[in-house]
Amino acid sequence: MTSARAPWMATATRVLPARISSRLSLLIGLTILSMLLLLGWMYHQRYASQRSQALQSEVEVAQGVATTFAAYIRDIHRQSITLGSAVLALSHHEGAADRLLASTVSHYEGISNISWTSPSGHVLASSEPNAIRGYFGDRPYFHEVAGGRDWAISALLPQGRITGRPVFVVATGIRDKRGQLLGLMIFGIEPTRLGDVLLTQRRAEGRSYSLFDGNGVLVYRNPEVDLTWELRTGWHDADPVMVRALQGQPATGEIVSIITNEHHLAARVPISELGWIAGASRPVETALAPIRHALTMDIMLTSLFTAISLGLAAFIGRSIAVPLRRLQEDVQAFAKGDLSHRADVSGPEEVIRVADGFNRMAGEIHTFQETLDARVRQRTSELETSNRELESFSHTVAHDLRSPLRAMDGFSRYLLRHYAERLDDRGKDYLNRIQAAAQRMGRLIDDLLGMVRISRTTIRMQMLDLSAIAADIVAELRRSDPQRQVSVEIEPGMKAPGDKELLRLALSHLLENAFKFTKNRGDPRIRVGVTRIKEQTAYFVQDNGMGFDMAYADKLFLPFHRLQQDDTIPGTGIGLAMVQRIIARHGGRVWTEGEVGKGATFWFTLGETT
Amino acid sequence: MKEPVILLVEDNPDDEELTRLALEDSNVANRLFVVRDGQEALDWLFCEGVHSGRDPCFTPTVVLLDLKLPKKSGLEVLEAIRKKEYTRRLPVVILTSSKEEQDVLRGYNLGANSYIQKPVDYAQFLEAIRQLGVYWMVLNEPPPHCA
Repeated sequence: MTSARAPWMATATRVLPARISSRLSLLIGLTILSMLLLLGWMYHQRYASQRSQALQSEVEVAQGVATTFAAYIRDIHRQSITLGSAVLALSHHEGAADRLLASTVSHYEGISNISWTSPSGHVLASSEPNAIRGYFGDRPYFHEVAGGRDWAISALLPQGRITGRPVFVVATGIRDKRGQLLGLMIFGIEPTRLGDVLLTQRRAEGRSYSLFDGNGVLVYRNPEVDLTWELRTGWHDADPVMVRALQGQPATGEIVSIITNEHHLAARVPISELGWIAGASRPVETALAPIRHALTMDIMLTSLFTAISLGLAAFIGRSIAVPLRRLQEDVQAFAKGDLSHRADVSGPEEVIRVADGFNRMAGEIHTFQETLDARVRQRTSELETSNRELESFSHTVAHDLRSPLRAMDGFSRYLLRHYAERLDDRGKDYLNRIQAAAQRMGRLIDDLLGMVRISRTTIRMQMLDLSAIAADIVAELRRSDPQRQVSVEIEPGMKAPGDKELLRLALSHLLENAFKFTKNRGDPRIRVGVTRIKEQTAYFVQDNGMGFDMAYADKLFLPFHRLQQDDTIPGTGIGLAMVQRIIARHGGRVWTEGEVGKGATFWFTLGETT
Repeated sequence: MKEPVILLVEDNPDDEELTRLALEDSNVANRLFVVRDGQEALDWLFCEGVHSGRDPCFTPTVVLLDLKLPKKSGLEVLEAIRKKEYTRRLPVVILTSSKEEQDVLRGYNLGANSYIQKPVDYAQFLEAIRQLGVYWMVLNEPPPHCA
């Protein structure tokens, strides 16, 4: 009975691991892996969205800074125009303009000094007395305003002419109704004082905001720190986000602050009318702390659930794999010969059914085996009984049949020796015949007992060198009849398992026969060898003697059956019967081929299983 | 010197006669005593039963013992001989038709001095008895007895 198998089964067998437990592990592993990949992607999305949200809030803060600062600068511009009109009006009062400017400075947040210059750049009035008669006509912002612009803002200067500290300037041109430049109102602003202006901005934890001038130099930073000139100018190289913003578009990204050396999420927004940049940033740590915390919790929970799932999966997997393995071990134990072994009936339903089926089958095999064993025991005991009977019978034969023979032999001899003169030749002849018959019967009895003994002896198997045994027998035969010249050829290296005594006996009967039946040949030749016949190793003893008629081939192996009536050839006709028994006891077969006058070949095989 | 005597334990009258003829031919035994079963053999040796009047010091030089005997088997006789103190060393030769390995082994195990299978061929039988007579009657020095 065969069942159709889907082609995918073959593929599965080739690709998947062989063991069920491995396949289950693979199944669980793949399921959990895909779950983890999905979770990982979701976490990544959440993290990325949180990050972009954080960046967006920095942009908003930066825009706030930008708006505030731009408004501040516009306010300064308006104040400048007002102040300019006032200063022009006061131009005939010595020192009045200076006082007005100084008073304005004191009331104005973030302003360091205010100066009024002529259209050629000479300071006419200033809040700082030492600035008077100074000259600003060489400044770029001066040229911008002189060139026609309403106002201009300078980059941050490392050292202001008036304060000697970093400063930037907002210069406003004061013109009459025809546009003629009457003078410039110049506000000097020290960045350190901008805090009050810009403090309107909400301060989140760890957040800093900043202002860069048109050259990317840090003008102001909050929280305020001592800024060396290097810390102000180093941003152009360290802050790529700011550099991008200088192109005119808001930019966001991650930077490393050259002040704190921390990673920051930063937004840089251009202040369009000034060409400056407003920035806001927070350390990555603080900005992403909530999401990181949440993710850590999520990952811990996920790991916990994954571990629990793995544990459960392993438990369930074992509940499938372990009963199967146990069943396999049980089947193996049974197969190894422990017929009373039964499978453990537990586990998944299918396994229980298989185990149940196996147990029923095993029970039947066991019962069958026991019946068979009992039968074998009975037969063996019967055989042993019959062997004992045979033994006792042969004992009787040995003892009892011999005595009368000896008497016949002995008394006929005695008669011939001591009473010869009273017997005629005929009487003597009869006595001789009695004697010969008695001797012959003695030999028959001996042979018969020999046959019985072959059946009785236990076979002791060992590896035999048949070539050496044959050579030994031939040497013995040559010694017993030194006159005879027989050519004997024995194939070397014939090795086979067998009982040494019995195979020697069989070979010696075959070789004796070969010697005997080549007696009347001029060139007697005997060959002992081996060949393959029908997948079997067959040994043979071949002679070129008198041979026999194949019609009688089967009768050759019957006990006491002789084909030839030639009295010159001795023998009881028991030899081949013995050979056949010996070969049969080795699980082999013996047969013969012959032709009258040409010779005979005797073949035998030995059981291949032993 | 004591007269050499052979005790033949043999139930077959043919074999008895053949043995007697063989011994006569080889001129070794002056006297041959024959008993025909195992029990009689023991009675003769131990001077019991019908042989109770016999002189116990009159012991054979050698016992020729058949195995298959009426009443008591040859091996039983041998066992009894070896148990009795004054026959313990008596030379016993088993002379039987059997050459079964078992019989040979048991014979020697019980203390037989020799085991000879009666040859079927009378000529060989004659030769065997002759050699046996020469060896045990002439060459062999029997154990001292009733000195």
